[in-house]
Amino acid sequence: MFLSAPGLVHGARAGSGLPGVPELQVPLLRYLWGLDTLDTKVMRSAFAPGALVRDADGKLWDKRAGGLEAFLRAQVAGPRGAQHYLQVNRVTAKRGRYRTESYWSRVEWKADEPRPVLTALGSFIDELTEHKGGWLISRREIALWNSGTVTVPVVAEVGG
Amino acid sequence: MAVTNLTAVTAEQLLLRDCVMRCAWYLDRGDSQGFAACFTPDGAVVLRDGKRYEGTAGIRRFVAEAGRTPGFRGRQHHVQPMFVENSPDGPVVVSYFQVLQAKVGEAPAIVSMGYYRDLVHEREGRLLIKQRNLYRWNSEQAPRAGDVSVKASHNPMRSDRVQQSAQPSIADRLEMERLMVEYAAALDTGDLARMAEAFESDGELISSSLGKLIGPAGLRRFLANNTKDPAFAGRQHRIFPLVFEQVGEGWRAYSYWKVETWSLGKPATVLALGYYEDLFTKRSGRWKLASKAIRRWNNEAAPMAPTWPESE
Repeated sequence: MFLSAPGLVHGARAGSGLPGVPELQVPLLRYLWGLDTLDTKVMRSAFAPGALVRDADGKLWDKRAGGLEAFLRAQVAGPRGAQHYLQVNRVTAKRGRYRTESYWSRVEWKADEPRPVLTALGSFIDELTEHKGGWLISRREIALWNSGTVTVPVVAEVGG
Repeated sequence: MAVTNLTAVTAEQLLLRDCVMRCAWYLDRGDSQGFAACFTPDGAVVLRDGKRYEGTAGIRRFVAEAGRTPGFRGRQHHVQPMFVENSPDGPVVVSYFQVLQAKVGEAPAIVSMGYYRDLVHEREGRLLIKQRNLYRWNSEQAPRAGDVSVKASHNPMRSDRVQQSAQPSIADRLEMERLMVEYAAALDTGDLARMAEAFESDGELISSSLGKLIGPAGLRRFLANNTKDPAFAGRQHRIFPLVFEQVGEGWRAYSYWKVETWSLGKPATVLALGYYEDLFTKRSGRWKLASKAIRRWNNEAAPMAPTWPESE
């Protein structure tokens, strides 16, 4: 068994025909490409029908808020020249769904500036479901990752 | 663990990703022979101005020329494959890249970014790059919606055929990569139990500041030293797995690491660059970290190839 904890499937595990991280990353990366090329069509293709998104401000983009379409339109208002990088840190499985926890970072490069600049760090928690042989995001929670949003416990030098 | 336990799509994605990511290790160390070996003998690198470097000799010249430019030592290319296009000539992997530079006494800087389009061919059971095209990515030159088609690859290649004999199986590699990010996430969240789970019970962590730390007590000391820093919260460790080498029954892996941090009220910054030298062993049927060495990467410490710099 390759499971390091119950339900963890990052990579391989016993059984057959199971997705690993590279496969589950496909919709996550496709979304980022759409975001960075300001392409709502590509972004939309990463989501399952009826997908729910909660953004970094805590706003739930449900039907009352205009749904996924309104969320996607809000994302493409930004300038060109950004790239988002992703690192999937954990995958867990539950009844045929997969939950991924990821880091993201945003780098921007204005053409009149000599260098790109790191502008933000954050995290995604995604729920992925299978649709027509591929994986799509059915639920996403977006958060910022900084000293105001993340608390790290101080580890004692000597264990108790 | 047989490859057939994973879906063909997972296997394909990993093999293609590995094919384009590992080149960075050779390029950044000025290893023209290693970099050229990532390409087919008739492969090519095409720069954004259209300049071409063709064939093994041409690709080696590309690395040699780059290696002679000022500031070359201390650079890392961080590559993130984004998607695979099906083209009539074969799969094309489209990847982001950013170039970072670290100099002693200065904060690391992102000096450039862009994207690659890598046409990949299978040659004698190995996936190699047939042609790499480089493009810049900024507010004027980033592709717009629809400029690059984004189509899923619907015909996964025969991963059993292209599995390289000198590489870990796909299942093993995914498990070792999982342990790499488990370590990173555990460090960023101060989670000792999670970090300890990634290591053998007598595993070693080799830190430049604390020396060799052994077992859970050593990991505790390492985490205690990091988390006592009031500015520690808000950091993310990014891992870029690059190269695996067989060592007895285990594997040694080299990966880049980068620490990014964001303190509230300040700009997000890149704090440090380096590389890990990990040794994985399998006991009781499970892979674990037997040792992890944390190495710095800058203009004085980057582990350049013995042949660097190559003369004209």
